[in-house]
This record gives sequence, C-alpha cells and structure tokens, in this order.
Amino acid sequence: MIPLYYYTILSAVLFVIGLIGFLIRRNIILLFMSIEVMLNAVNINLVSFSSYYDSLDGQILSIFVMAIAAAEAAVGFGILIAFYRNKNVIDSDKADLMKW
Amino acid sequence: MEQLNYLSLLPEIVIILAGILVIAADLIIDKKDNIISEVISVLGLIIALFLTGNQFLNPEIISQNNMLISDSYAVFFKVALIILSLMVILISSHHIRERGITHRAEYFTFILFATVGMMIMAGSLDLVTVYVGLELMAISIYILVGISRTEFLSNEAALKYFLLGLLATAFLLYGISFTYGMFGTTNLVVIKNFLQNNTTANSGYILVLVFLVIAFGFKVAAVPFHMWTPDAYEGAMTPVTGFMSVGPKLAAFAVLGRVFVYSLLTLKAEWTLILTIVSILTMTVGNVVAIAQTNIKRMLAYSSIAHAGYCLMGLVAAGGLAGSLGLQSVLFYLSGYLFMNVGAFSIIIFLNKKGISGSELDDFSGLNERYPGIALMMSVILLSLAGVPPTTGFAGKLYVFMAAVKSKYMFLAVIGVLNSVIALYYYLRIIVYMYMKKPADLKEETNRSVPLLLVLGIAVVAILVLGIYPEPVLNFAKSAAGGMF
Repeated sequence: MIPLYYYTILSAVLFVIGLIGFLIRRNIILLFMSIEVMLNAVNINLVSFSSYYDSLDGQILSIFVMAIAAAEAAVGFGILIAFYRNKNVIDSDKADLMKW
Repeated sequence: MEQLNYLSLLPEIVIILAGILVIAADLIIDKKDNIISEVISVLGLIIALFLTGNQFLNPEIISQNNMLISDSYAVFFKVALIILSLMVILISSHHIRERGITHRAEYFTFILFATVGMMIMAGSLDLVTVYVGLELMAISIYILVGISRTEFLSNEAALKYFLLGLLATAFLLYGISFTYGMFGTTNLVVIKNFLQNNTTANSGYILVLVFLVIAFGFKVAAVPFHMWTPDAYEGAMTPVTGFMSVGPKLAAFAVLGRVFVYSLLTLKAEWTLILTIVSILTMTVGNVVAIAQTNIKRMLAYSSIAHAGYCLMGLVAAGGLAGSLGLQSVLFYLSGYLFMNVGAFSIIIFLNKKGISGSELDDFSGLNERYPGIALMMSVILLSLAGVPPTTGFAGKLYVFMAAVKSKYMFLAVIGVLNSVIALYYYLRIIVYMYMKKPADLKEETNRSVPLLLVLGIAVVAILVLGIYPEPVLNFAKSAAGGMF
C-alpha cells in the first residue's frame, strides 16, 4: 500500500503548480485552469485522507468541491464573456482601468 | 439533538423561497415598471427577521447532523445581515432603474441568495457548511458586481473580484483538507474537544491556521489580501458596493469567531500572533492609502479595510485575557459599521448623476449650500467612521481598544489610536469640501426616492442611538459572545 504522505506531497506539488500558474499567467482561461489544478490538489488530499481514516466525509466533501467549482466556472465564464464583448481580449493585463 | 430540524432553518427557507418567487413573478407579470420584485423581497426579509428574532427566545439548537447551529451568536449576525439586506434593497430600488439595469428581478434574487449564504456561514458548525455558505455568498456577489454588463468598469471589477475570490476559495479548501487530515473530521465541536484532550503541539496546526487566515483575510479585505477591494468597490454599482462592503465582512467575522475563538481556542498563542500582524498591517495600510484617494468609493474601500483591521484587533483581544469582552466588542463594532457604511453609500447614491456615479470628491464641494440636510447627515456618518463621540463609531472603537488594553495588547491599542488620528484627516477633508468649498457648477439629477431617504434617516438615527445608548445592542452582543467560550 502506498503511504499517505505520497498523496500529500503530490497534492502539495499540484497546489504549488496551480498557484504559480495563477501568478504568472496572463490569459484568463489559463488562470481558471490554474485554479482548477489547485482544487484538484484539494480533492486528492481529501480523498486520500478519507481512505486513510476509512470514513466517507472527505469523499463527500470532494464531490461538493467539484459541484461548486462547476457553478463558479459557469459564473466566471459569464463574466469573462461580458469582458470579452467590451474589450475583445481575454488578457488579465487589459483589465487596467482602475489602479490603486 | 435532532438530526434534521427544518424549524431552525425557517428564516433561510423563507428568504430562498422569496428569491425564487421574485424570478417567477418577473416572468409572469409583464415587464412594465413594476415594483413586485422589491415588494416580495422586502416581505420575505421581514418575515425572516421575525422568525430569526423568534429563534433568539429559544435555547440553542444544533441541527442537520451537527452541521448548523442557531445560538444567540448566530442570531446576532443573522439579524444584522437581514437588516443589511433590507436596507440595500430599499436603496437600490430607484437606482437600478436610473442605471438602466435590465435584469431587475435577478438583481434582487441574488441579493437574497447572498444573504442566505451569509446566514448559513453565521450559523455553521462545520467547515463544510462554512464552505457552502461562503460559495453561495461569493457566487451571488460576483454576479451582482458584474450586473451592469455593458460597462467596462463593472466587467473589470467583477473579473478581478472573481479571480481573487477563486484563489481565496482554493486556499480555504486546502486549509479544510488539512483540517480533515489532522482531526479526521471537519466538525468544529469535535475539533474543539480533540484539541482540549490532546495538548501536544503539532506544527501542522499552524499550516491550517495560515490557510484559514489567508482565505478569510480575502473575504474581510485584510492586508495583504486586500488588492481586489478598491477596484471591486469602485466598479460595482453603488448599492452593491454598500452590500459587499458590509455583508461578507460580517459573515467572515462570524466564521472567524466561530472557528478561531470557539473551536481553536487552545491554539490561541499561534493565531493571536498571526492576527496581530495582519491587524496592524490592515489598519495602517488602509488608513494611509485612503489619504491619497480622490474617489469617495475608493476612499471608503480603504476605510473599510482599516475598519476590518480594528475588528481583527478585537478578535486578537478575544484570544487574550479579555476573552468574551473582545468578541463582544467586535460584534458591537460590526453592528455600528453596518449603519455607517450603508449610510455613506446611500449618500453617494443620492448624488448619483446619469451615467457617472457621482462619487468624486468634487461632487461633494458645496454640498451644504445645495442640500444642507444631506450634508449634515453625511457629516454625522463621516464623524462616526472617524470615531468621534457621540456616535457608534466612537463607542465601537472605545470597546475594541478597551478589550485590547485588557488583554495586555497595549501597543496594538496605541497603533489603533494613532490610526484613528490618520483616519480623521481624510474623513474631515470631505466635510471641509462640503462646508467650505464653492459648489461645483453642475446641475445634477439627484435620486430623491423615498425609500433611499428613509434608509438614510434610519442609518443616521441608528448611528446616534448606538453611540449614545449602546446598552441593548451591547447586551445582545454580550450574550452572543458569551456563548462562544
């Protein structure tokens, strides 16, 4: 059996990859995808802990995470389409009307 | 302890039903200029307010498989949130017609749904319900921020708020997943008992605390997680700004209190240290950057960041010797903050011109000559935000600083007082503009709707009443905070 910490390390690596992607990418769709990678890191964590504790709570929570992420993506793409209609780009650099 | 108890969920159910009814009514009744959406929303909220008040009389109920609790702490926040939502609906009714928002029913529906999300957060006893409530709130507010689809500013604000909100969600979930990994549960009561019985230190706890602080730092707009705040506040429609500057903060502080003070009290040495640093940064950056702003909405955004810093100070005190006094001061501060911010944004709505939001500093010059009553009310609100007696801003700051001193966080209280002095500068600048400058030569259309003026009046009266006679709210906050220890 694979020890628990393998999963934790995998999830930590995925989380960091997602975070770095979020910070350095400029294309908004890629930003969404980076966040999805981070959420998948969370799901790996939850499911591996769930099997470690032999309880279902973590797996149920991971289904919650997926369902709500889908709802978020729907709203996010709606916002992105409205943005695209006005600007004709999906670059986060172009969202620069307001600065501190 | 009952497994499922829909009676304790009745206020939320009523509000959700009202939200669905608003959409249905909008489909059935033809799209003339009717106010059916407002009527249904307000009625639903008033019924929910009574039902929530009724819960206060009952003892605490833990329901839905230990997921939700309705104790006086939850009821305090729920009452505040319903009042907020009522006020926001009243101030936006006329404004959204002026701005030509076509999706009126959806606007009110999402305000109601966001309110339910925040109420679930306030009453949650499990990190899963915290997450679900937070998402219901956040998704609704993303839509509300971006509801003026054709405006650049609104698009940009919604996009920024959405992306950083997503990031906050990812951090929250990562924190929750480690909480689950460490305790084998996400239930806050079980975690509390576990920590009381196992006092051995575990460095993993700090990881969880850091992730939770990051996630809720985003929601309360604490520095250094505040970057989205001024942009989202400026780009959103003014009533939405009023809503999102108070609601998510109330809900996030409710959760912070429930998680840190109630559940993780054994780890207070660690989280008070983190929150002390965040609180000092938040107060100072918020107030210093606010000085440089010429747009009132941006200025109020930075001022709301600073206010979050004061509340965090109260939370730190709650982890110290002051105990329940600290949490009580946070609750009282937030209840005053609700009326101050809604009042301030109502005045910006009142000065709204067609097309432009009317929120530049110059729009306020000579306000006294044009509308002496409005200028007076704005002065009361600004003095309260600055913390001048006899207003609720003063009373709230007094209790927060008192709690900090009682917890032996002298330096924190001193920094807080110094910050209030800085804050006085930029609040008084608006008063100087209103009373000493010549009015700008522009004929503007102002928003004279009766509900707006009603809310404005209520806010000003509440600010003064809470400042002069705070006992009833203070006692309510005391009983609410007392149950958390």
